[in-house]
Amino acid sequence: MAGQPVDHKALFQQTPVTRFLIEQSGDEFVVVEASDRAKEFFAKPLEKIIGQPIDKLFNANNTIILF
Amino acid sequence: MVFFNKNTTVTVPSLPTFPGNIQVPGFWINPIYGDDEQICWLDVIAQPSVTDSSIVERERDDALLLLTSIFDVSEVGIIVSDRNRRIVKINDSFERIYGWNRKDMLGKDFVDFVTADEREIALDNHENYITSGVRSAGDVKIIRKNGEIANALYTTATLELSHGRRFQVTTIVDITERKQMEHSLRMAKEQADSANHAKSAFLANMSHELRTPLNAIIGFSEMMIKETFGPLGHEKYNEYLEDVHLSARHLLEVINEVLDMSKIEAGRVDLHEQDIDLATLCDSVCRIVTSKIFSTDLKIEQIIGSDLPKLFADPRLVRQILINLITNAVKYSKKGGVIKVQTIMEATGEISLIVSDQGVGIPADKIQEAMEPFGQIYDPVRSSTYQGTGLGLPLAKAMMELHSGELKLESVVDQGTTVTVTFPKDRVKPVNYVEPEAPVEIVGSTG
Repeated sequence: MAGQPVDHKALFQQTPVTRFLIEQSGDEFVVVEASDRAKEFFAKPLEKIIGQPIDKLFNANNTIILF
Repeated sequence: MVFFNKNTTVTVPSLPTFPGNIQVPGFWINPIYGDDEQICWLDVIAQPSVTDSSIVERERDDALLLLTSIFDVSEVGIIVSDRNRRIVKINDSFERIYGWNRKDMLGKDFVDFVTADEREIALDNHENYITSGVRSAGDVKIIRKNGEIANALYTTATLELSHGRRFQVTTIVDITERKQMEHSLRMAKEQADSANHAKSAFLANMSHELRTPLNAIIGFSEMMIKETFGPLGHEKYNEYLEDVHLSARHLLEVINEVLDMSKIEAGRVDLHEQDIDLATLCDSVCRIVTSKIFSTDLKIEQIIGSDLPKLFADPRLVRQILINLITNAVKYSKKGGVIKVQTIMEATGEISLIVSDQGVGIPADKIQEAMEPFGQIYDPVRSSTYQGTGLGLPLAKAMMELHSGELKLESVVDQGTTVTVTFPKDRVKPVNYVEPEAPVEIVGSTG
């Protein structure tokens, strides 16, 4: 079915939940993409989220990881 | 990244404080692989919040609304009771079907609304539910507020709430109408079977009633045709002629009774009403019957009031009623018995004719049967002893009903039977009635 190519980046950004991609950069895990809802979640503009290490965005008091 | 297996999503629960004050229960973390099959990104997605108090409240409200709607709009009655059998809730249908108000029932023991004969079962069921949570189902009789008893089907279920609170939810479907319909159908079937049985037996009896006089007619007439005792004119043939005549008349009576009954049952009898002098009619009938019992030692007493009012009725049918009743009295009287024919002017303005005998009587449990068309033949002993179609009494009753009157029968075995027929007030033309003084006797035997 032919049609307009999907703009995956726009789709990602418009995901109606907080969503972001993390990439390992040296010893840090850095946010490389974030959806619009992530701005509300982190209470920051996108430019202050993207490129930031994840441990700067969260702190130990509000996240617990279980495996 | 070593802790990720390929294509494995990791769920990360989160604590309830977040930078933007948006609460999420956790995150799904999906590894994304590059061409070298190494993880190059982690796709982190926040799980939708289910702890949002507005959503929880809305869902709780919706659930409550749904349950309340089901409870209230249900066409079956629902009772919720606690572990002490106290009613804590009833629905609208229960109120509507059984007539009780909520205030009548709330806090009461539910077995109070079950009929006494089924309370034991209800208590056992409740005990089973308390001890083991066993559900029960079956029939139950519910007492309506107006005191009537309703038949119902019930099913119980256990409702467990917080803090270990356990309730019994009983759904009750009213089946009173269904039970009544079943009962009516059963009764109708029994009546149909009974009528069918009676008619079959009647036909069997009728064949005897028809054959006997016919055999006599054929037999005696054949003997005359063949001149068995010599040429016609022999005195023996005179006896045979009388027998043939009597048999033919009897046959005609039998056929007339059957035809009369079938005409009445088919609603094809029209009354030809006129003013009747009841005293004259009684006297006439008594004399006719007396002539028939000439050779017996029975006695007929007439107790007829003077200045009896005229009766507006069909004279042929009233005569037939009296003939049937007196003939029956004669048939079932014992030797030397007295048959009384009496008129009574009732205080209500009605007029009654009473025919009583001192005969064999009818057992109490057979009276109803004797009043039904073709009822006589139910008693093989009686039918073998007393001939006839058995239609005399039912015919009299049916003829009285055509006059909007009634026929009552009282009887004691070996003491006798009294039949009272009563004509309604609107058929009686009032005059100054004088009570009878002494009976007028007509004796059957001349000694």
